[in-house]
Amino acid sequence: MQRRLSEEDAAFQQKMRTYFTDEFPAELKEKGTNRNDLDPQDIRRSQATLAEAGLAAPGWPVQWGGQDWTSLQKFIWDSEMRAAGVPPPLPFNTSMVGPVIAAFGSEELKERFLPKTLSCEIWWCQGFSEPDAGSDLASLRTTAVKDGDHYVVNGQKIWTTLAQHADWIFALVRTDPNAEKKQRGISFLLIDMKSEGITVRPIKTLDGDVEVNEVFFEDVRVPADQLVGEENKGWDYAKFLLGNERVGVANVGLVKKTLADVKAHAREVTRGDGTLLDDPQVAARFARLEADLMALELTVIRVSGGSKDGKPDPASSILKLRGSELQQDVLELAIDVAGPMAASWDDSVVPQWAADAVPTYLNFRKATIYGGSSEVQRSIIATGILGLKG
Amino acid sequence: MDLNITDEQKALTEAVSGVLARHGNPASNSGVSAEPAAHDPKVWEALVEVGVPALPWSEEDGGVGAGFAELTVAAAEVGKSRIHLPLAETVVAGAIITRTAPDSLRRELIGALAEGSALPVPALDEPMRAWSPTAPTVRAEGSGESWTLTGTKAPVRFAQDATHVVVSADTGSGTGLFLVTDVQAKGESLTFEGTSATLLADGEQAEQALAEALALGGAVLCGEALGAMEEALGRTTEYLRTRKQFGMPLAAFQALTHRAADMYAELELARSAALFAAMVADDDPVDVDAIARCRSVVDRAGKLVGEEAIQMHGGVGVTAEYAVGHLTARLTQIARTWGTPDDRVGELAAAVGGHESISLLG
Ligand SMILES: Cc1cc2nc3c(=O)[nH]c(=O)nc-3n(C[C@H](O)[C@H](O)[C@H](O)COP(=O)(O)OP(=O)(O)OC[C@H]3O[C@@H](n4cnc5c(N)ncnc54)[C@H](O)[C@@H]3O)c2cc1C
Repeated sequence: MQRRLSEEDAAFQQKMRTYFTDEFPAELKEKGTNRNDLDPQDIRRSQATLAEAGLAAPGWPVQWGGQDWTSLQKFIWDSEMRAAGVPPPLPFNTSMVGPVIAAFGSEELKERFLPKTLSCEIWWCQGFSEPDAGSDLASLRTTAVKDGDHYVVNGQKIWTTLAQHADWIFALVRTDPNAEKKQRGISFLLIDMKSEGITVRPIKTLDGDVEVNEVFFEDVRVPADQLVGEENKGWDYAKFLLGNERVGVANVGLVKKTLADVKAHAREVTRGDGTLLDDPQVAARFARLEADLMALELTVIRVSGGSKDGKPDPASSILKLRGSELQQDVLELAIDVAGPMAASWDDSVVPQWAADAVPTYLNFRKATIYGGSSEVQRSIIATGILGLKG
Repeated sequence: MDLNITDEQKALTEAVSGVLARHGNPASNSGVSAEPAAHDPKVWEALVEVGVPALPWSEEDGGVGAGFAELTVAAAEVGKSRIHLPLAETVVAGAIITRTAPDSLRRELIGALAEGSALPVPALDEPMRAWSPTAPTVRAEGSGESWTLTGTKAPVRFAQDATHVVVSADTGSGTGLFLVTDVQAKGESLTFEGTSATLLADGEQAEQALAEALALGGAVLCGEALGAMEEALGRTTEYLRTRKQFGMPLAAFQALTHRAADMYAELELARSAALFAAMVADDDPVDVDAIARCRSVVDRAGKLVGEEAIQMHGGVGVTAEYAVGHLTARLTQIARTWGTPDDRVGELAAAVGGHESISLLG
């Protein structure tokens, strides 16, 4: 156990801080953190800037633009990036498809896709979920049938985040409908969103935004060399993908920034002769959340530092579960800080942060649903770690 | 920052758990209630032999200078064992002494504590008073070398076996901390009737020393609670696997296994908090709020794990002969030692305006 950062890590932290606060273009900061201001061009520019600085995907192999950093350094990178309000790289690119291609793709696929994935010249979306395949993802039905040197894809994906901006989709498709286990007949396919036969239909969420979509495939012809790894091994790659980014999954940096912002607002709102933050009950809410966040952050540092015999520390299984809950608690507090102002979603009537409070809270109910719902996480802990099987 | 247990620390936990298993006699073995147990000098002596009470104190003072990280992992073993030992109490008394006593007294007392010949404990609580570290109703009169105390402190854990008590008292101009060597306890109650005492510190110095000492004791309690929670969860999952109802093991019921998963999540967050509290305790000066924050995390985890452990055991969970309820009893008590969970949140709440966010790295 050791409390202080080593000299080397402290210098690293300073370097990150300097870059993110002083060198990263100020006009790109805080983009996408407020509702309605997500300009896809900004997201692309931001990630391209990070890629140029070698800071878009430190977890990747060094050869493809990653960094030879310790997990603590990756954690520091994430913390400093979030604290400075720098939009993080697209998780679909850097945490999901990139590592899969790097680990399982052919050399040719790597050369073709990794550089553009890193710089966000290709914007990826994730085509896993289907109307009848949610938590039970392996029951997916979108088919890919080999036809010469192409696959012909038919079916439907749903909840595809930001598909409307995406250039490519990485999709799980069924290549062997007769496989003994349904997990065995699935493949991991890369598909150009401009392909003929693809239709994207937006789904409006409670906040009024369009962030998710339905994606329909009708006889879409996909060159067979866009298969990642081996046919019918897609489930393994998907599991690798979902278990990949443990450091980022708790969203500690983002939640910390949000909580600090909410606190700043609580200092501005008046109550009686003082501010809302002087109210002991409100202050207690902040105190509790700061304690929760501290425990979560420490856990991220603890599990990312130590792997047990090459296997991830079992405690990493709690990060998604508790990180998403904490994020939701912080957003609920934002509503209470906005108080009566939260009744208006109109930023010409109330300040933007107050207008955003309820829609953002509602939007982030998603956090305990996607990426393996809280119930799925609890089942994983119960069976995988506690050995509780019926 | 590194929150992982070292090999030496692992070896220490094995030594401590061995000692506790050989010499300890948890209340559930004899089926007596979960009432806080009296001091067990035999186990304490055995712990002294492996050097546990000496761990946090500097060599100069007669300790071994290992630090709080070591003591916390040892405390976790104590928590698992269901044996009540004055670990946190001697830390609070010792920390006040190291911060306030003159050199010779400090060396004598800490040395004796490390060797097991002295058992100093704090006497802070008073009947019918909510927890407060300051402004006690026990009165101190005198000046210079000559002071007397009047009033009652209760409950004072381990008072009957204590050789020294560190007493908080009202000097008329604030709170003073006093050392009493003539300890006349009735059960866990101490009544002073013009009892002579040595002034250790008063005013701001006393407040500061007490706050830091309570934080250090709190860090030890976090370790003890961690062990108790670990044991409670382990016993609960084992029970879910083996107990059958409706023709199947309880582990077949997701309504239970998901709650066990929540217990695990709380336990792991509390583990991080307890380990961090230990690291903070080794810092100088001690960040008192950081340890209160850790305790607050542990408070909540202890409640969930303790209550759920009993619930998932059904009737056997509330019996005196079964271990799980004893762990819950200890967790309940730990959370009310030197303030309630609400007190700690209140303290932290009073300080939230002083920072933008909590920075752990650095
Ligand atoms: C905003 C948003 C963005 C998303 N983005 C993407 C994306 O980009 N790409 C993509 O592929 N998918 C995406 N998803 C889909 C997401 O992964 C699924 O919503 C998720 O897997 C849950 O599936 P479902 O919605 O069909 O719910 P269901 O699986 O039908 O679950 C309904 C409820 O039942 C619970 N439940 C299910 N099974 C069990 C069980 N065995 N035990 C106990 N409880 C259970 C669930 O936890 C949930 O509470 C997104 C979802 C949202 C909300």
